[in-house]
Amino acid sequence: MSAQKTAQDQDDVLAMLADSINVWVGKLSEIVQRIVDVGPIRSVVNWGRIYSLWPVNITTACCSAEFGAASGARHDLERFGVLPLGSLRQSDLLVAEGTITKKMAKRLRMIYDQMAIPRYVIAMGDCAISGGLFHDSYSIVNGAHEFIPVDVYVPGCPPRPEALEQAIIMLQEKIRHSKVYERG
Amino acid sequence: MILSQEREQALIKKLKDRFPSEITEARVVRRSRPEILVKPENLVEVATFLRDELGMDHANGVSGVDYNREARFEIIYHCSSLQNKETRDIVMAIKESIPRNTPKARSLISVWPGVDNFERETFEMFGITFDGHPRMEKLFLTDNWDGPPPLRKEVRFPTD
Repeated sequence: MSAQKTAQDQDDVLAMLADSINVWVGKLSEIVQRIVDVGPIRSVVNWGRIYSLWPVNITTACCSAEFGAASGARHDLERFGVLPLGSLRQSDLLVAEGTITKKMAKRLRMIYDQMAIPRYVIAMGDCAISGGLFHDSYSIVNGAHEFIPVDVYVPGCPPRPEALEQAIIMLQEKIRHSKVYERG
Repeated sequence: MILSQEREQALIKKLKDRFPSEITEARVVRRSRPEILVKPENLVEVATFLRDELGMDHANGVSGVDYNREARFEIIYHCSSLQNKETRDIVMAIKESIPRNTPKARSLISVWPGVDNFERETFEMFGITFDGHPRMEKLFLTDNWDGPPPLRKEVRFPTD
């Protein structure tokens, strides 16, 4: 009887200990997050994120021609750190380039879910903003915001490469003011 | 550049001589674009004649037009020739007109096998059934589509 009781007591003590340790670890991570967000570490981390915005190679429609022009030698997106290279897991930026059909939206969402946090989305072109020319059609999604959170919208049909550059600069400004542990 | 329409007129003349009553209307829209209007029940014969005698061995596409005020659909087959060098640029339009309340037509898949997907697309967009087609089902629409054929004129979408 007493042996059982002592065993139970031991279990209780262990559980309490584990609970308190968990609480302390949680508190500790909160404290770390707070320190990171107010201190200079945040600006260092954000600086790293700003200049390594690698976009995913996903093309939904014709705005990809302008994206290609922007990535080319004349406009050279790489000077902003935008390098269309690498796999899905290494990418931070998803550019919805043009009209998104309902079939493509499913794939785009799948790609967005596979990207590692932090991840950012640019909706490029009128069609990705509101459906544009094909608004309210039977096969078109009325804007990329219907299935993924969008950070920057670029109007134009298609937008010029300069507009895309401005969008990237705006996104960089947004990242500069964002917190490190925000879920993107 | 040759602006004369002799080749097109010769083509239409051959067709009119062979099918005087089946072809109700024939004209040349512009250079290298002749078109004929055929009765729906004689379409297969005319198409077979075009393929075998006039060398039209290639179907470029099938499309539908909804004339809902006249209560009819029009199906347009575009065909051209790859084997005759002289008439290679000619794209011939074969039209047929079917009533809107019984949208049924005969498939041309026995004449040109390439019309397979085009006829399926016309089926899903306009609801026109093609008799003799081996696989009359959805092609491009989403899998969970249960609305009416979307390109018909009476279909309305939320903000219309």
